[in-house]
Amino acid sequence: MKRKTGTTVSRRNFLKGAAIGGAALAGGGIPFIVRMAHAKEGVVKYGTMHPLTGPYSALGTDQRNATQLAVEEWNAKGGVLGHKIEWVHRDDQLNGAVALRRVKELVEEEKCGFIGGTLSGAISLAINEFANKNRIPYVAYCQSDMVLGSDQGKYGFAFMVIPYSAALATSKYAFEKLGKKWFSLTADYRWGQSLLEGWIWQSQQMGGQFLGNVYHPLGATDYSTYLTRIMAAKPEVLVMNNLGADQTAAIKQMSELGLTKSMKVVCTKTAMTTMKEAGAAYDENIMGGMTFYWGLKDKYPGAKKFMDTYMKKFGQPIEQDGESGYVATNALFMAMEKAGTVTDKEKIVAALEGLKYTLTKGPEVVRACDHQREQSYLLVKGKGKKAQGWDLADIVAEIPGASIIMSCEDNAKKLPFANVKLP
Amino acid sequence: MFSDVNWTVFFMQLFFGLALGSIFVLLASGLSIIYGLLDVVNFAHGTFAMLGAYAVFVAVSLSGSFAVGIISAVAIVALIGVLVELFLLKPLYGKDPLLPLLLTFGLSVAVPDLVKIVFGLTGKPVAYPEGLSGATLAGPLILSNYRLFIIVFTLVILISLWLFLKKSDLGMIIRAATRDSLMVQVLGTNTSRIWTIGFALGTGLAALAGAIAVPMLAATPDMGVEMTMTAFVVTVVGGLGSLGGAIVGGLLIGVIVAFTSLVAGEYSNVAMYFCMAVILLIRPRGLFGESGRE
Amino acid sequence: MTEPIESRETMLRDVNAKPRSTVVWAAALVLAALPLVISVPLATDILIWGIFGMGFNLLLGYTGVLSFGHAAYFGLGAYASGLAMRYWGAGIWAAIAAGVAAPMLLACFIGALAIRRRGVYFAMISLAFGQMLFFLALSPLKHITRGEDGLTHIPLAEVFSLPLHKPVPIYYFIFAITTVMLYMTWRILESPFGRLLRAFRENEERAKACGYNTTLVKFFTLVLSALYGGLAGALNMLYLNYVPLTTLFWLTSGTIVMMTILGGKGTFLGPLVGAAVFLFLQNTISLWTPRWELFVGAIFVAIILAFPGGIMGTIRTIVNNRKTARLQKRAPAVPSEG
Repeated sequence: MKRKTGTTVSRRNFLKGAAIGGAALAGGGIPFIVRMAHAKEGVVKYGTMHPLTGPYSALGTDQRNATQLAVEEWNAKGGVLGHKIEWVHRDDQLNGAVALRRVKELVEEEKCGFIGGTLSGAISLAINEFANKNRIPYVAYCQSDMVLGSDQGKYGFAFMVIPYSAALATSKYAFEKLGKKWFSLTADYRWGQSLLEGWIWQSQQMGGQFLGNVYHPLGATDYSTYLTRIMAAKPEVLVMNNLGADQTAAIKQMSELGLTKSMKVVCTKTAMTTMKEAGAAYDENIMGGMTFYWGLKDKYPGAKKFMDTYMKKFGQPIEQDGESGYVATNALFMAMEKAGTVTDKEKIVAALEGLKYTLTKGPEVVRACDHQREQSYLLVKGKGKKAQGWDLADIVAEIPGASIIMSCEDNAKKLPFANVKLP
Repeated sequence: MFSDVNWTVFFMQLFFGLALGSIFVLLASGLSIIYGLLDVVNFAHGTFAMLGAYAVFVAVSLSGSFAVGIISAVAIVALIGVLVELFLLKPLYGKDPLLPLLLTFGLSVAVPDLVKIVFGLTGKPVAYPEGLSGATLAGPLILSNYRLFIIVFTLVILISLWLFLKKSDLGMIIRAATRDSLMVQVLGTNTSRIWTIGFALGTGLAALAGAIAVPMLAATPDMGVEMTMTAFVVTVVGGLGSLGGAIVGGLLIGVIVAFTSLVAGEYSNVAMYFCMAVILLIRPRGLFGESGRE
Repeated sequence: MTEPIESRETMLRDVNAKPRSTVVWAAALVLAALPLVISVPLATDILIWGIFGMGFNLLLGYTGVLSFGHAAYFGLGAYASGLAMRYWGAGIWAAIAAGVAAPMLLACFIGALAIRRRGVYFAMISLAFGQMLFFLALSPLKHITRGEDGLTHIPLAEVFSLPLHKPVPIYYFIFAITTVMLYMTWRILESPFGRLLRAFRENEERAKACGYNTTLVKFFTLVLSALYGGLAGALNMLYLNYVPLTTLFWLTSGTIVMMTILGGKGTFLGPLVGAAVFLFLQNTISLWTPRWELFVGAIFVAIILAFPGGIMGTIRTIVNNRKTARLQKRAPAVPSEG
C-alpha cells in the first residue's frame, strides 16, 4: 500500500527529528541559529523556503524534496564547475512575516548567494522585492505575478506559469471543446482575480458567454450557499478559480447536488492532493489545469527519468509545485555553468535569461525579457471511483507554452488583462 | 418585485442556511455545555471536531458504513475528552479561570501535528453516505438529501439532548450542577464525575459536528481552527453557557452567512463577525445569556 | 508549615521585590550584546515580539484580562504605519506615530464595548474582533490593504542617515526603542497607577473593595497595551519593509499569548524571555522537523500544568521562597503582629 509508505516515512522523520531536536535542546551544537555560519570559500550556497507547516504542507514538502533531489544530483556529478553546492532550507509557515525573516536569515546570516522557493504568490512578491533590493537572484517555484508590471525585477525568475497563462490555457480548451456558456466561482484575492481576468479576456476573444461570477472568501468551508446562483445561471462550464481545501469543498458540495453531472467543471489550477481529498467526487466531469503530472513520463523521456528517481527516493509521485522547484534549481546551476562563474551574479542572471534546456517536459526556455519559464500547461480529468493509489487522473491535453504566453511588451504593462473589467 | 424565481432563491438559501446553521448548533451547544458546567472555554473545540472527522474516515474505511462512522466518532472523541478532562483539566480547577482556556489552546496547537504524523499531510476523503446523495425536488426547490439529513439529524440530537437533560436523573444533576455545583456537591453527588461526563458530552457533540461536516469537505489536520472560531461567534451571539442560545445563535448565523453569500459572497465571513459586534452593542450578554454570567 | 496563610502573604508582599531600575539596564546590556551570540534576524524578531509582549503582559499579567485578539493591534499598527509611508510619503516618525495611534483608538472602541465582560468572555470577543479585522483586510478593504498580497513597495527608511534596511542598523534602532519601552514599563509600574496594577495582580477583589474602579483600570491598560502592540507592528513593518496579511491573523495573537505565558505573566522580564525562548525553540526545532508545533504546543501545555508562573514566575517563586525561609529562620522569636 502506497499510503503506508508515506506514513512510515513521516514517522521515521519524526523520530529522527525528535531525537536530534532533543539533542540540540540539550545544548549540543545548534548550527544556523547561533552565529556560526560563514561564507565558505568555493561553495555555492543556495537557500530555499517552503511551507512545511499549515494547510499546504504537503505541497511544501514536495518542493523541499524536489530541491533536495536536484542538489544531490548536481553534487553527485561533482557540483557546479567543480564547486560543491550547499543547500539550506527553512519553513516559511505560509506566513509572510516568517518568510521574509527567514529570507533575511538565509541571506544575511547563512550568506546564501541564491534563494528560491515559496508556494504563495503573495509571499513571492515580497521576496522578489527583497531580492531585487539586495541583488540576490531568486527563483520562485509558485504561480506568481512577480514577472509582470511594476513587480518585474532584474533578479527574480518565475518557474511556474503565471496565473494569466494558466487561465488562457484552460479557457482555450474549455471554449473549444466543452461549451461557450460559463460561470465562475472565484476565491476573492489577487491570484483568483488574475485567473478570472484571463478567462474573461479569452471569452471576449473566442466568443464565450460569461454568465456571471461569485466570489468566495479565502478558506470558505460552505459552498452550498453559492450554488443557488450557479444553478439559476445554468452554465455549460463552471470555472473554479480556487485551490486546496476550498476547491475540495466546492467540488464535493457540487457533487452532492449532482451538479457535476449537469455541467463540466474546470479548475484553472488543481492538484493531486485535491483529487485525493475529494475522493470519488473528482470524476470524469471535472477537469483541472496543471503544469506537470507524473503521467507525462509516458510522453517525455526526461519526465520518466525524473519520476523514476523521485519515486525511488520519496515513494510517491511529485506535484507540479515540486517539479517547478526541480527545474528552477537545475536551471540556476545550468546558468552558472553557462556563465562560467558561481560568484558573479550579474553574469549568472544574464545566463539565466534565455537559457534553453530540456528537463522534465519538452524543450523549454527561460524568457529573457520577463524572466518567466515558457512551458506547456496540462489539462487532466479526474477518474472518480476508478482512481487507485496515485493513478488519479488522465491527461486530456497539453497546451503548448507559446500559445498561452503574452508578448514581452504586454507583460511589462500587464496587458491586455489590466483593461479587463472584473464583475 | 418578487417574482417566483426570487422566492425560489430565497427558500433555497434559507434551506442551505439552516443546514449550515445546524452544524454550528451542534458545535456551539457542545461548547456551551462545557462552559456552563465546568466554566471552561474549550479552545480545542474545533480540534475535537477535527478528530471526529478523522474517526469517521477510519471507521468508514474499515466498516463501509457512515452510521458506524458517526457512532464511533462520538465514542472515540468522547473518550479522548474524558482523558483530557481527567489528566489535563482536573488539576487546573480552582485556579486561575483562564488556565483551562490556555491549556486547550496548547492542545489546539499540538494535536493537529500529531494527526499529521499519524495520517500524513494530505487530507482524507469521506464519501457521502449511499442513500443520502442526490437531491429531492420540492416544487421549484432542489433540496440536497444530505442537507435534509443534517437538519433532521440535528433536530433528533437536540430533542434527545433535551429529553436527557430534562427527564433523566443524570441530566437533572447536570442541570443542577450548571446552576450551582457547590450545592450539588453539598447534597452528596460527586460533581467531579459530573464534570467529566459533561466534558465528554461537549466534545462528543463537537465530534458529531465534525463527523457530519466531513463528507462535504475532507478530513484535514487544520480544519479545526475555523470551527473553533465559528463556535465562539455563535456562543457570543447566543449567550455563553445557554443551550437555547447556541441553537438560536447557530441557526441565525447560518442563515446570515447564506444570505450574505447570495448578495455579496466575499463578505460572508465578515458578516458573521459583524453580526456578533452588533449583538454585543445592543445586548452584551448575548441573545439568551443569563445576566451575571457574561 | 502550620503558619496562618494571611501572615505568610503579608510576608511575601514584603519580600516580593519590585523591579529595580538596574533590571532595565541589565536587560538592555544583554540585548545590546545579543546579535553577537545569535543571528541578527532572530535577535530583531525577539525585540519586536518582546515589545509586543511587554504591552500584552501589562494587560494579562497585571489586570488578568486575556485578549485573544491582540493581533488586531499589532496588525493595525503595521498597516497604519505602512500605509502612511507608502501612500502619504510619511517620514519614519510620523509613520510610527500613526502606527501607535490607530491601534489605541481601536482599543478604545473594543474596550468600551467589551472590557466589562468576564475574563473568558472577553477572550472570545477579542478573538472574534481580531478575526473580523483580518477578514476585512483580506477582502472588503483589499483596495487599501492589497488583501492577501500584503503591503509591498514600502519606501526604504533612514534614520539619522542610518540605512534601516541593513541588518545591524535596524537592530540597534529597534534596540534603542526597546530600551525606552523597558524603561517606560518600569516607570509605569513604579507610578501610582503601577502600584494599583500590582495590587490588582495580587488580589483584584481587594482592590475593588478599596474603592478602585476596576473597569477603568482595565480599560486604560488595554489602551496602553495597544500602544505597545501598535509600536511593535510599526517596527515590524520597518524591519520587513512589508506588511503581510498574517500580522492580523489569529495565530499572531496565539503566538503572543504563548510567549507571555512561557516567559511568565505578571513578571517584568517575562515577555522578553518568553519571546526569546519561543522563537529560539521554533527556529531550532523547525530545523530538524517540520512538526515543531507539536513540541511547542506540548511544552506550552506542560508549562500550564506544572509551572503556571512561566519561566520568570517560577524563578521568582523559588527566590521568594528562599527569602521567606531565611526571614523565618532569622526572626523566630518575634511575635506576629498580623
